Amino acid sequence: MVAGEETSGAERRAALLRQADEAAQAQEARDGAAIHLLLVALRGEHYGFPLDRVREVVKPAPITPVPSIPEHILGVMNLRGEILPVLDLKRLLGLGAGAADPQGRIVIVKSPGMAVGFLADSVEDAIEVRGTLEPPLATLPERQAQYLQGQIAYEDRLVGVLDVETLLHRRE
Amino acid sequence: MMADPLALEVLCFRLGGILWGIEAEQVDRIARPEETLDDPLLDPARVLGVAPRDSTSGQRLLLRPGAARVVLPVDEILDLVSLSTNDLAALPPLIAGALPDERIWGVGKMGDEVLLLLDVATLCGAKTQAGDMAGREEG
Repeated sequence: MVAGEETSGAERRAALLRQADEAAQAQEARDGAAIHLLLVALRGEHYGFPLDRVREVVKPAPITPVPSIPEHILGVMNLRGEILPVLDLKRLLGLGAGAADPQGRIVIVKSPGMAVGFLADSVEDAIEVRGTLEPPLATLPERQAQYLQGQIAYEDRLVGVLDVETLLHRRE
Repeated sequence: MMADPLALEVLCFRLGGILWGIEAEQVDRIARPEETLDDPLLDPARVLGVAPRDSTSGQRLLLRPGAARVVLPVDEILDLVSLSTNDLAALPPLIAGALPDERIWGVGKMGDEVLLLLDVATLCGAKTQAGDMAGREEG
């Protein structure tokens, strides 16, 4: 093989890779970027934690209530020696109080410098959704809409994508 | 095994269904059931936001956060425990930031359960600031 043929082969491969990248971007533009979520259920409605913010999911452990703090903070739990605050996701979203459901799970979410647990009715699945994140429906109560990055269609349901930072910095 | 020189002696008790602890050095003694006490009474509902589950059958702790003694009614006095540094942790910032003061200065790890470590001096300060002098305890 001569040097000129090698160069032309390398150029051809580079051109192919460029085309593949452009095709992927065009596909993504048509379908929407992939959004990875941990799907949780609250009173039959579906919400998603951005998967890159989820550290783990645990069964509800004993939660020690702390008096004199806002009621959406359930208290603290001892997770393998780590003391974590646990928040009531239903109460935060204005869906009533959390109940001790056997299907209930605590989603441990990472935030800079801390980890926080959110109590949910159940955890369904880790999903990949393609589509456009739409602003929350105008019919959604403001109490709930303020904690959503937006909503996205997944199968036959509309999933509210949770805004973790806003949830963590709620002040009452 | 050598004793941990940094271990903290804590008196554990239950109040309002919560496991609490107070450093032993802030505890004067446990009051006898029939004892008439002349020291100021802390009202747990007002200073802590929790009420004893049964105000008639509970026990009382005599606390000495400073020069003066105060009485704290509790549901049940449990035990004196020694907490090593591995058993202690700060309150998560999200919780500490939501409290009105530093009445809970940390937590103890008791198996699955979490012990809330109470600072009696802060509690007494909160009581004074609130003008909540509940008066003398009646025997």
